[in-house]
Amino acid sequence: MSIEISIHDGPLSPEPHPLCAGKSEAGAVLRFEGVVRGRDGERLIAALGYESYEPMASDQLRALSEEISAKHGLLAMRVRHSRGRVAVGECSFRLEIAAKHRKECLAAMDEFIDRMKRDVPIWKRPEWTG
Amino acid sequence: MGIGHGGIKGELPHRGGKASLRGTMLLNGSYAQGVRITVLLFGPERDAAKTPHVWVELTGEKTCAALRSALRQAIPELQVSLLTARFAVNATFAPDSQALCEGDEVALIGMVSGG
Repeated sequence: MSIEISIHDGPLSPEPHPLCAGKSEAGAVLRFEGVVRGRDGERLIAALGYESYEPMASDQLRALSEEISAKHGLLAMRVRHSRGRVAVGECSFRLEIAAKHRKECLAAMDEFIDRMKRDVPIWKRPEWTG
Repeated sequence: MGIGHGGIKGELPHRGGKASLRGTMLLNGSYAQGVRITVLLFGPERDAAKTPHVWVELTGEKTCAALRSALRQAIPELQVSLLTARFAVNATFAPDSQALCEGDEVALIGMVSGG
């Protein structure tokens, strides 16, 4: 089981290496990307500014990854999150999961994001246009 | 404990970068016996309090519950958040019953919004 966690300044770049390369037992690899939306209701957004409380944010992401991995029997997880300014259309969060089967992969993805939005000290603030 | 057993003060950043004291007071004069706690504020709580951190001197009960009570009385802007917000002590979530020691770093963790 491999777990990779990191928090980056600014928007996330594409991953140079695929998750779980060489792990022949993986039958499912799932990637979720959170992208900054340009609108919140009627108001237009130029960017989101993210702040995190470190080292707690990284520690919580790791603890959560370990718990979810053990619960669902995952093979690999990679978690990236932005801090600072991320413009509309850019990626601020990426979660990749590899597992033997689709069902545990999908369940783990959903559970991780729900828990992250509850227990990981990261906040975002909209930068409105105009 | 209430604010009457201790005091609270913190920094309120000015436009020019200088800090001034926010809040005030020590009401029972027992400053030397208290523990001094730094409380970090983030996100909506930072916006509401208009400061990134406050210092709290607890001189009666020295727990997260006492800290919550002191903050509620000293910073009315945080009253709603303090109904549900959690404390992290030295970067770990802590129950209200947790004892606080001199030098502890405490963060008030309201509603988070990562992702």
